[in-house]
Amino acid sequence: MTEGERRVLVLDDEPIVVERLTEALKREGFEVEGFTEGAAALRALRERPFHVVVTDLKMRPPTGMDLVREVRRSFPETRLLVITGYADRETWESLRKAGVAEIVAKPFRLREVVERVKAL
Amino acid sequence: MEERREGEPQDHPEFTLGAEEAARLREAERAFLDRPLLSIRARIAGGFLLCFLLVAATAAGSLGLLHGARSGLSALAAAAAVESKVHGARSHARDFFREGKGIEEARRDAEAALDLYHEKAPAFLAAAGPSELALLGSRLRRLAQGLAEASALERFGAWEPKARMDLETALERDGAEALEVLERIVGRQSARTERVLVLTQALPFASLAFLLGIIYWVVRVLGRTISLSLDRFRGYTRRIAAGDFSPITPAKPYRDEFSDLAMAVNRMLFELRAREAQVTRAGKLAALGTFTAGIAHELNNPLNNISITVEALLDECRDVGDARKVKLLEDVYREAQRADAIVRGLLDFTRDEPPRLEPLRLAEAVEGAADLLRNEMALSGVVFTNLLPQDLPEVEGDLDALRQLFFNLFLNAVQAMPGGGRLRVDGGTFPTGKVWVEVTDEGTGIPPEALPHLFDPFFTTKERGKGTGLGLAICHGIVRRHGGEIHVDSVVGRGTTVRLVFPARGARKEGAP
Repeated sequence: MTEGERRVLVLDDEPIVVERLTEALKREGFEVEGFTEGAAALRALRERPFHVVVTDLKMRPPTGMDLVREVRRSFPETRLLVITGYADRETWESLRKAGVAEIVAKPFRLREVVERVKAL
Repeated sequence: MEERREGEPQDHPEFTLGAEEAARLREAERAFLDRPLLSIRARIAGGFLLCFLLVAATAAGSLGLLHGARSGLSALAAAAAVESKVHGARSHARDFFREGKGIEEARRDAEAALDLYHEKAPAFLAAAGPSELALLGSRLRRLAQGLAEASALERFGAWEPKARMDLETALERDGAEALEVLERIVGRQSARTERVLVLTQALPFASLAFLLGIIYWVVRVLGRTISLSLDRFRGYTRRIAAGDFSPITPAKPYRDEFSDLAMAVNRMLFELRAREAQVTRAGKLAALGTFTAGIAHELNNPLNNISITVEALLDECRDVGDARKVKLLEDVYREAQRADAIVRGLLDFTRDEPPRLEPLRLAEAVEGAADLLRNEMALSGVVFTNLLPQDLPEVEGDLDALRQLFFNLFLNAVQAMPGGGRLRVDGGTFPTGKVWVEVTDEGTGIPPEALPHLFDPFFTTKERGKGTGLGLAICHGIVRRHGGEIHVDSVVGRGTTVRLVFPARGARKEGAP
């Protein structure tokens, strides 16, 4: 799979996070769709699969956690990167168990996230 | 009751409560200990000792009286025996002077009477005076001597008619006198014995009356002491339940078991207050932890947004046009403003200055407070509904203070609904022009016994570490400073409604607190 083909979904209830990540990933050649609502993100996911999903966890339902579960259930190929400002040990472990490839704590650096997405 | 000594480890509550409280406790304790000890146990023991002494005295008295009665009866019997012998001697003597025989029998009877007299004289002494006794003795002796003389003269046949007649007269007179004295003695002795028997009969009744008196004293005086003390303690429990923790001071001039109890209660109050102070301090520390985590969480998003936007700007600034740069800088500015607003909200939280009153819409304060809690509500599944009418009249108020007021109320509501629920704000006007606002939740509710204390500082129904107990106290202060009223209605398991009433614009008196 070449980089030009890689599709990334970004979900965060902070519009600026979505904007900055979308712009930065696009600059690296990814095809990016950004969302601030979980419901819209789920719809997009079902329309056409993504290679990578970057999501926050806590927001108005459906939450990032719901998106993680849906991806695990229906799209085993899709790689997951979770951004969270609230990462206690339990959350961290349950995310690992759910097959989340990368976990990034907020506050984060753009470069850090982009590099990890590229590495997935 | 253990004695308190300076510097013992049990004094540790002083570190949390301060020397003043400890001094008050010691003062009360000293006041108790200075009073003379008059324990209830000692008084009960005293009562029973009195009963015992009374019974013992009654027994001793009965024995004495019985002894008196018995000796009286034996004296009577002795007197009767002497009397019968005197009668015998006189009757034989009369036979002798009339028919010339029986003088020996008369002499024997007279001697027997004299012997009986010598034998029983001490028994008569109580009823007869010594002179009377001496008189009886001399008559009996003369009777015996006269009869002995008559017997001798008869035996030798040397009777002169004149001497014989004189002797007969003397013997008749002596016998009569002896009988007379005996009769008096018997009469007096009977009366004495009768009196002793009457006393013997009366003694049990007198003793019963005394016993009744002692029982009355024990029941009435001790019972009163105990029931009055219990009443006082009922009063203390009410006062303590109402929040007055000052030590109990002595109410009686002496010290008894209730004084020990009072000292124990004082000690307990002191320990409880010390523990309360510790818990409050621990609660404040826990609240500080929650507070700190909350600040970090709230500030995390805008600061991260600023950080990643600046990162993008630094990356792109050589390659992109001014419009893009301006867009990114605007984002940075907006997020910095957002962080500012959060910090300002936190400052409002701790502010306690007189309200700067200006006409404002309550909806503004309500929305501002709800915005601060948006995350919290979303996480708990709380649905917020603002039903304040569009045309709700403006009130005169301090926006920051009112925002804090609604923030506190909403936070309580959200924390009361950990499983989610509806949080509704409604409002309207009374005919008087006053504006009312109701905040209603579907939470766990507040138990009725807690309702009167809701506005007390540091009173909390939340579990330890969840609340400082200051939220509603601050609310109360804010509402009061606005000249308004606050009421709380709650049903456990159903939810809570907080009703706020604000004065109509312009109705608030100048300078009201």
